[in-house]
Amino acid sequence: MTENRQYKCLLISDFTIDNLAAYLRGGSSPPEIIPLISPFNQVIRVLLDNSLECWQKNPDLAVVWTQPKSVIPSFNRIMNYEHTTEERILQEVDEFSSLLLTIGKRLKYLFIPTWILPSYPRGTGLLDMKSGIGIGVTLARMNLRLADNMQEASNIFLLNAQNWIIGAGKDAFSPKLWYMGKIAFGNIVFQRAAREIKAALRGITGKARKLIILDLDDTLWGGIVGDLGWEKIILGGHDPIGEAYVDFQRGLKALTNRGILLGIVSKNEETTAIEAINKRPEMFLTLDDFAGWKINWKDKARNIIDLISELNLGLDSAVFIDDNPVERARVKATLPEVLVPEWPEDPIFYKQILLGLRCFDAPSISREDSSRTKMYVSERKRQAMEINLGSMEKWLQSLEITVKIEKLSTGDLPRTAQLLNKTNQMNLSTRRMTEPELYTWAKKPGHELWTFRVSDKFGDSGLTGIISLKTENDRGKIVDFILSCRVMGRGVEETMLHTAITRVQTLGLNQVFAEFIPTNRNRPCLEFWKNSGFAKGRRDLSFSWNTRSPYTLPNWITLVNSEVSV
Amino acid sequence: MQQKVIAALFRAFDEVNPLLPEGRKLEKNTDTPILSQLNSLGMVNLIVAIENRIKDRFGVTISLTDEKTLLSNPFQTTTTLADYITSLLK
Repeated sequence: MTENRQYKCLLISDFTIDNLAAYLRGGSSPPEIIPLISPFNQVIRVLLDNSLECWQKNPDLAVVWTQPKSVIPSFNRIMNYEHTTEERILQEVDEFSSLLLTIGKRLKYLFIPTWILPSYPRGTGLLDMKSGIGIGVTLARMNLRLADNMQEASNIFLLNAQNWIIGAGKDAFSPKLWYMGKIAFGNIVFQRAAREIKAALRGITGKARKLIILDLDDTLWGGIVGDLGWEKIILGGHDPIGEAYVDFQRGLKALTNRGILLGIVSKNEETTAIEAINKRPEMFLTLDDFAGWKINWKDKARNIIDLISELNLGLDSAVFIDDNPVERARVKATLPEVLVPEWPEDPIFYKQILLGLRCFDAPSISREDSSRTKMYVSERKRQAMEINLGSMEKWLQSLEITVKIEKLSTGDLPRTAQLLNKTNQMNLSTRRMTEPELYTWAKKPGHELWTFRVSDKFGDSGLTGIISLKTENDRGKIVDFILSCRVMGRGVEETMLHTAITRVQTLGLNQVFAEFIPTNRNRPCLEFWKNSGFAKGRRDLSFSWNTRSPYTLPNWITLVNSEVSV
Repeated sequence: MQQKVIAALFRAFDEVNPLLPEGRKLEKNTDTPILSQLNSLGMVNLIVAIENRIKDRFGVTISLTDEKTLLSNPFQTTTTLADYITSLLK
């Protein structure tokens, strides 16, 4: 199982970092982190010497948190109003960056909080943002250079420490903590840093939330639409509360551009609620912004389960937002996997709370992410058509599905790694790998990784499938068999097997086999394989196919493929 | 006054306890031993937390690291510390 693993995290710092270690170790939010503290104030030595004891424990990730004056000596000159050049400072940033890039190769993930200064020195006043002398402008350029240098390393992430300082306010720094304990920040800063690091890890490992389920009355607009009518609900206009609701909707819409889906669960008459969404001109969100909805008088927990299963997601991918504390308590108690944030009574604070949630972090945003809602809306239309058409095969024929098959390229690597790390249900082996790990694996002799792009007359679902093969003696092993839940059940699974068998046959091998590795989420994958026509082996968890027999391609699928049978 | 000081101390305990290992956390009792419970890093964290909470509660800046404090040795228990801080506030 990969769900609840522990992460060994090496903390490398030029100040006492034990308090961050304590916050990472403690707290109830996953994942579990075992902090390892490197020798105090020996950053460069630790980065250079991997024979040190702290590296022998094989950390999964590291946090390198430094003060600019200690790792960039020329920055000290600027701090002392001595002459130096920007070129010299940036050269030192480059040198430090190359050390970080080197250790990044030894780790799964590397987090680097940006450089910050205590807020009490006021810099160089009028000259603070003046090139060549200003402390503020120099620090900003150093951080930008560091970010640029790390840009290409897909497992290295800069964390914006300035946000932690702003959030901590007057408690961000304490001279007493510094002089008595060499603790560079107030504990509230470490607390925030620990939360951000955990959120980042959840995001990288595919545990970010994907769906926001919203109540309507007094959540998306003010008032009860069933009582007031759509014309009189509070929304927009020259009114602070009305504006706050529209702004909250804007915040939700922005999240959909990051790949977060929106859904509605509301106790209302469906026709009344939909009428309000469609007719009220100040509604920033339209019906097409919602992947699905359950608007009725049933128990909200029941409706949440139904909506999530309709969208093929897991309960742990959802966030439920409702102004009513009783409804929140009910969902919290019955569906503990669903995240139910405490919600303010005053709508003025809705957007602020929404944008402060740490559950949506993702390491990248793909083309597929930004159009995810559109894909679900297309799916809703497909389903409506399915109901009209009756016969499954007739419906599939009518979709005009095209599948494009390509060997893994560097351009598709971020999306492929994202799919590998986020997909739970249709996933044969649930391997989790970073982009470099995946690419290295795919390029090894005897290994191949194919990607599948699926489109139909309703739209392009993008890169939604992966199959990887490994030659073992005279057999071809399917190592990964991954398909996004968005395109499950349309014959793409069979198309992937057809591809794998054709490919293995082309390589001159006699048999294709696969071993299913169970998790508590990938049962749909096992069900597919059991009915795939492959011969079942040990404990019904291994499957094989003799390549003398072709595997039929579903007749409603059009393949766009240039390389598989070469 | 002493009760308010104890309440401020308990808030500081809450703040510092997540940083302390199991078995070393400070219980919110008047006879909780302090000095024998904490290492030097724990003491630094606690002192700063107490000074901040006293400032929040009473609007007064106190120092628990000056010579007078060191001579008074108030960090035996919650009560001895509360007595000492109360004397500073009077």
